[in-house]
Amino acid sequence: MIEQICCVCHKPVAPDAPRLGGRYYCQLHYDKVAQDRKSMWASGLLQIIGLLVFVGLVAGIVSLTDLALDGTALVLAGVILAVIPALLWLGFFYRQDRLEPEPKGYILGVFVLGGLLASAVGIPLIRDLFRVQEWMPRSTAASILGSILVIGFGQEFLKYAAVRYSVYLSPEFDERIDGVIYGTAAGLGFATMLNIHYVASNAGVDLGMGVIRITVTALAQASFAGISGYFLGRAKFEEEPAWWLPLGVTIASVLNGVFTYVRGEIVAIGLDYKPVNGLILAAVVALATFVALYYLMRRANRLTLATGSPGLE
Amino acid sequence: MTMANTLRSRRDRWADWLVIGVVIVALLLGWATKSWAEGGTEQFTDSQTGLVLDYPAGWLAGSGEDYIFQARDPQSGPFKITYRATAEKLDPARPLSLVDSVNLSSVNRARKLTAFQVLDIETVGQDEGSPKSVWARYVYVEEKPDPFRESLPVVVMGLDYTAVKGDYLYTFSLLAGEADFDGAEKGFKDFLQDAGFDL
Repeated sequence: MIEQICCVCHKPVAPDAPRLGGRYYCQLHYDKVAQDRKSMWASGLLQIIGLLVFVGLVAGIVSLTDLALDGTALVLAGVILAVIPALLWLGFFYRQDRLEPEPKGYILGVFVLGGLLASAVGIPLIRDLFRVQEWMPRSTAASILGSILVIGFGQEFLKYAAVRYSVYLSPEFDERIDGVIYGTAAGLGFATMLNIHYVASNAGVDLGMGVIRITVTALAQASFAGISGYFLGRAKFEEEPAWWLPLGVTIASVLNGVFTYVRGEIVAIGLDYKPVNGLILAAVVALATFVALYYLMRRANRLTLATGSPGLE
Repeated sequence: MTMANTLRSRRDRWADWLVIGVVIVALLLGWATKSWAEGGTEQFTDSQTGLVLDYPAGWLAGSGEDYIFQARDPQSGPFKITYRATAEKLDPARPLSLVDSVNLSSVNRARKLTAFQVLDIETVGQDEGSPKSVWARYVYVEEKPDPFRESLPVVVMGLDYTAVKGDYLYTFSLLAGEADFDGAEKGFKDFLQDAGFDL
């Protein structure tokens, strides 16, 4: 007789065990798959609001105190600012997630992996191998295509890989929503490393302008990684076709590329530099992504709870 | 393992490979876009000499008092990679030697530029006892490469190509920061060949 096992914990299950997408579940993991993690949505919303408050606070402090740093102090201040978006999210998430916490080690691990991939592969690939900064500004077509094909696909694949080839395979990835949670963690790790690199390569940044750029990067990278994460979460627990995951990475990449292009166009208008335009765009994109994921995830969970019953798909 | 689980894991593997395949295709298309964008050119025609020049798309081009054409790469380092062309109408009554012209340019530059030094002068070909063209390499220090911000001086390397075409003696110059020079030299030679000069 062929043994049936739970696809999450790999423990044997009865022949009439609940099934989803052709996979067997033990009762514990079946109940968890369609669980709605309110902490995730609350921390996501708080993160968007918190980051906008963070920008306002830093800009206010800089303008009120005429703070003028230079040298090492300026670089250190920039690095601290670069880390704050990730700390904010982690703080919100763990505060909201006390009832049924996601393992801190996994979240931090994916966050660090996202950062390492950005530093070891993402930045060298895009800046040193493709040298996008040299040829993308030459024409609108080059700018749009480069933003999508090189920056979009390059960055989104690495964030996807940070989840797919680590925690995705573990029993801790036991809810659909985990895809969005770990995707966001990978995106924030990626964004943090991009921001630290930006600060270090410019030997510090103007704090007022720098905090806007840092926030825009964090909001955008986390949002697009959340989209790939949503597709990962559904791919693990549902009967999805083979093109499902490529579709998810492609959607995230195209949105990333279009965002990169549009941000470049609205931030630098002729000789004018308007970073606030980029911040508004990033906030709108993050909020729209958040609402779309919230709706899609709740819909999927409702359908599972409405139609799923032990022994039936 | 059940049949369903076997099919499932096979589909997961397919999905993994498909993601990798899609990303590789996207990056290859990105590389093709890079090649296309880098090979793209815009055209400049000098109304006085009729000279037609194809310079890299996206560069800032124009003409000035001392030159008939100049194009600068806005994306390059602290000193922007520059192509420059000058033209001098030949006077049959007062024949001009190419080497003398190059030497005169060097003397003028030495007066204006900091730490100017000629590294090498090379003549190419022979036409009735005089060279068909002359290459000159030189170096100087640009003390304020960006007038809009504080920046350190930059060592600039220059390469001049001087030749006669039609009724004019042309001098084309490549100027680039030391770090950018080697990468820019090939593009400059392509630019000269596109302009109809037999290097």
